[in-house]
Amino acid sequence: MSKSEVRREFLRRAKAGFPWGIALVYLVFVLGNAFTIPRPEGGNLLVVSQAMAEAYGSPVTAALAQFFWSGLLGAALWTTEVPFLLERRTLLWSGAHFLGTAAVFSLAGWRCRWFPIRESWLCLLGVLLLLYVLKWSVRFLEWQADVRAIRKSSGLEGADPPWKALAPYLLLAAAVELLLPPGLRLADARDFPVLTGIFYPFLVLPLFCFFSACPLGTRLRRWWLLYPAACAALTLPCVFWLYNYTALFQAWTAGTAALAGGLLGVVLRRLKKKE
Amino acid sequence: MKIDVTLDPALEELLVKVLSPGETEELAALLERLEDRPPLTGFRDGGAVPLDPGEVLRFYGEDKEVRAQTLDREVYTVRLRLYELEGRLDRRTFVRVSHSEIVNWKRVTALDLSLSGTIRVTLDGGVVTYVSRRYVKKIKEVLGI
Repeated sequence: MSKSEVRREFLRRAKAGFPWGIALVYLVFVLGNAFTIPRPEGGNLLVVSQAMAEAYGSPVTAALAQFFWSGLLGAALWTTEVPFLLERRTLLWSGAHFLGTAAVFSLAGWRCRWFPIRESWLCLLGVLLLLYVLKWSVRFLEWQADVRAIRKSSGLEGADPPWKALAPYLLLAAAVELLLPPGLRLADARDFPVLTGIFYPFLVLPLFCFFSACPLGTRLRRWWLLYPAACAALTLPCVFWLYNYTALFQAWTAGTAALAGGLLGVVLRRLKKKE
Repeated sequence: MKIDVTLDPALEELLVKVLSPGETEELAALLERLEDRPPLTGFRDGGAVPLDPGEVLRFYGEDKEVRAQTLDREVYTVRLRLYELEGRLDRRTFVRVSHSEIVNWKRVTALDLSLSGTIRVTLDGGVVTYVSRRYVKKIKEVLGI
């Protein structure tokens, strides 16, 4: 796809994403109202935060400003796929797109007073980063599978050694388990470290280990068993650096989740074989 | 190669059936002769030379013209469009890898994926080119994957 075509596609998707962004943000507010107990004063539906309405002087002006920012956020999110249309420097452009989206998200959050506490903003920013990393990893593994199939069919070389298939997963696990906890610690509250105390060990770590081990169990025979062990071992540096021995349960959490994911992969492989 | 001729008065025109144990070079050469494709001509420095498709590494678009790069790294201009070449060349050998390039797949020595997502093709003699990810599906179809 030529650069002008990519530019056109970017604008087309941004235009399509703008109303979706507005709809999504207002939906979040409507749902937030529905689950708010007690109901806001006078039972009115709040479509902007109280702080934003006060800052802008009137709820209508605030709603209009939020209209613009949420549309812009929708446009940014809707164009996430565009860097993948480029043939060269896809990683670089995807990274640049993440920075742009993070900037729009942060600005929108600041102007619309969406995040009364810094931790909630950083937490969502972390989730956004994780989504980008996962998206990239999934795409890369798809391309790798295509290239491997073409190579095999063209007789260019034999099948890849198992460690070669394992390497990208190990790199991703190292990035998540070694870099994410210190990053979250920087953003964590001192009195109640919710990001490193709850969000990471009980949500991110098990989910990541489970879902990353699943495709390995599908692809590799026996070699995938190294992955749960690696996931468990990779938690140790951060356990002793950021926490203490009481956080050693993270190793078991990571190992068990990866083992469960790998076993699910094995089951899926066998089912596919039976078919 | 065995030749078996059957005379059938019921036929309205000549019918040639080729039986082969597989997709061999001999078969490809025979089909090419039977299809009676006009020879490819390459132009350079005011002269014209016949091009043997088997000796061509790739055809690619450059400066609104189509070039053919041969095994000895010589580059000729071909007065045909890439889609016309696609129609004339053996589809199992010459594979479209991008909007502006057709590669002789029999001359491919390596295929690599870089971390940035670029698929690199190395041809005989170390000539390097790139596969468009949009054409991967087509390549897989051609290769019967």
